Amino acid sequence: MYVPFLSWRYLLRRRINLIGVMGITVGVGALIMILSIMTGFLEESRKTVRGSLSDVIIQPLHLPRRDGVTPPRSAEPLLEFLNTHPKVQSACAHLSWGGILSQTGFEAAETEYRLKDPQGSDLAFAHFVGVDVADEFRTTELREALERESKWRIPVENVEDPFARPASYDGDEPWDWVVVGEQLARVHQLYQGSVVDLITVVPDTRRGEAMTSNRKFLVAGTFRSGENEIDLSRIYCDRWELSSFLRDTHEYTQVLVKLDDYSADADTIAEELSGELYDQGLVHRAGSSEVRTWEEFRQSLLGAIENERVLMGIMLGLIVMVAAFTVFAILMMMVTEKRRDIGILTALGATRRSILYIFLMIGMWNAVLGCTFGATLGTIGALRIDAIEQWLSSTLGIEIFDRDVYLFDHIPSVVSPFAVILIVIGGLLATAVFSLIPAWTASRLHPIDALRDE
Amino acid sequence: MSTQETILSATDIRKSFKIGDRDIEVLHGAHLELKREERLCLMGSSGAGKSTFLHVLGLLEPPTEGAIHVHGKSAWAMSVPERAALRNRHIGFVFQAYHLLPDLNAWENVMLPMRIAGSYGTVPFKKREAAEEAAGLLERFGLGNRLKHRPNQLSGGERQRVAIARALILQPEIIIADEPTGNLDTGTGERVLDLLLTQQRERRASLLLVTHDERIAEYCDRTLVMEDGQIELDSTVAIPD
Repeated sequence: MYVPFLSWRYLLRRRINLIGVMGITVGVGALIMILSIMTGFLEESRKTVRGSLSDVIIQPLHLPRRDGVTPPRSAEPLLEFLNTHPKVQSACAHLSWGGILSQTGFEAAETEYRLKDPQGSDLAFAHFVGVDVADEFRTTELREALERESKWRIPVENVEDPFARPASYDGDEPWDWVVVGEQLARVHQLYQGSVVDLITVVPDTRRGEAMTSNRKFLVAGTFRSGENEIDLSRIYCDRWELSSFLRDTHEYTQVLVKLDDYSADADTIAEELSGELYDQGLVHRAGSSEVRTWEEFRQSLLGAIENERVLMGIMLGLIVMVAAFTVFAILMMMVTEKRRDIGILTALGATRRSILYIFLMIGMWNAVLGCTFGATLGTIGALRIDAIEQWLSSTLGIEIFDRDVYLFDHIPSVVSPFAVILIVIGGLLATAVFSLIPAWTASRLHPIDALRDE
Repeated sequence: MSTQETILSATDIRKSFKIGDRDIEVLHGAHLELKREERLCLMGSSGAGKSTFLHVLGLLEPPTEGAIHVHGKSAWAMSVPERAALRNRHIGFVFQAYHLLPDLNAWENVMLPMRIAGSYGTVPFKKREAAEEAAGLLERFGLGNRLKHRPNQLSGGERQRVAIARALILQPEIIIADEPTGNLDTGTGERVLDLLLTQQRERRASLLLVTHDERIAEYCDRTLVMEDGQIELDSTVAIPD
């Protein structure tokens, strides 16, 4: 009875305890807020990264197998098989190729000279992706990327057929139309109807050399995937047009698969599909990296964000440790200050154990109050981070969160109750451990020495 | 006034302190017997070992040798919680320097032994009843209007009265008072002593009083004089009417 009473009284009567409470509040609050934001970033990034892909990516090697079978160079058998698979919702073929975009138009002969110029700012690396629009819309989020509102958007005239010549265009060039990433269009000041030269090299298998290929295209509009790298380099066009541009050397490079229930099959689907595709003669080797889930495909990016989150957690966890250490310092000071009280309490019948509990409980009051305030403020802060950021930005007159940099229109934040509970338990445990030493010191004080200490 | 029942006894108490690598013996086989309702005065010059003997008798410090018996039970053979409970329930301390907890008001200071007793379950702690009892006692001691004052807001005499109330609240059988008037002026000291002695009689408790003041010793049934860590003189003096 008297342990909670006395510990609470000591807590209230020594204002220095406020520093301990505030330290834990700041540590726990910051940890919850930052981890929520990092989790939000991770989830948002996962959505963004996932958006330009699908659940499973199949990239068959078209090499002869030991059993004499060579996986077909056409996507049709693969698509046919996948579209009848019980776990597959839809699939689409991609022809993915790298090259250079130039605005001004070059003859092939000039290309080599221009490429040697490191200052050639009108050249850009481009990632050409040839798609079948109907299949693509069913399997990936290209439609959403075409329709996503943003400051720099150049909308395609007809989303259902994005590579069609816009009715409003009055030019008479015979070239095909492409859709470019929003950032690419912004950097190179492209507009609807801009002429771009696409330059690439393709292998000449007969002569064992590389051949250059270039062709003019017209910009039909932009897309915004939300992933900066893609929006800065990707150019969508019709798969057969791209195949023609590549001198019919390739029909497809990968097939994207959307599953009925990715979350249920994520762990096993790659291996399962790989085995089945091997049996069908559609991939080179079973269990290889020819069949990967989108998470495996983007492991490096997702891993980097996850690493950042863990590192931030560790760094901010140190703040909680520092706060717990502050409680340790405050309690050590209180033990010195309360030497006489310890002697009096012993004379009145208190045991060493209850003296230990009194000081341990003062530490725990610090922790309970700090964790409660910290968890409340941290959770509110994480949930209202956008309003807080906007208020701070307008008050300080600086842009704290540049939405164009991250291509998010808000600061993502996901508060995980489990994480909050874990952080609170961590705060309580750290403070308990740091409080034990002063509490133990108090309990070992000799009552007579304490009473003599005038 | 005392009956023959021995309530507290100390037999051949020796107490040494280690200073550096030397053992310094302060008590050299001290004896004492405190009878029920007896007023026993312990006198002696400074450094004679009175305070050490008092701390050993009050179970605050273990003797190096010898035995302390309370109600015939060896106190240092008990477990730590048992001894602490015994100290809480059966011994009331009054110190020269009052030793009130500065963060508690007078009322809370007096209630503190009851809270501690509640933790042992020896006396169930009921806050309302405890508060009424503590307030009643303080009112009887003339501190009815000082209940919520903290020690630093009270005079020396008031503090000592609060300390006496705290020592008596659990109706202990033994009161150990170490120079209870040592820090008070003569008039206040007399009033405090009068209160202590009256309460001791009313409650039929035994009093072990340490003092330098021979006039105070005159109020006691018996006086022990301590010299060089031993009881040198045991005399019975007349109790004034």
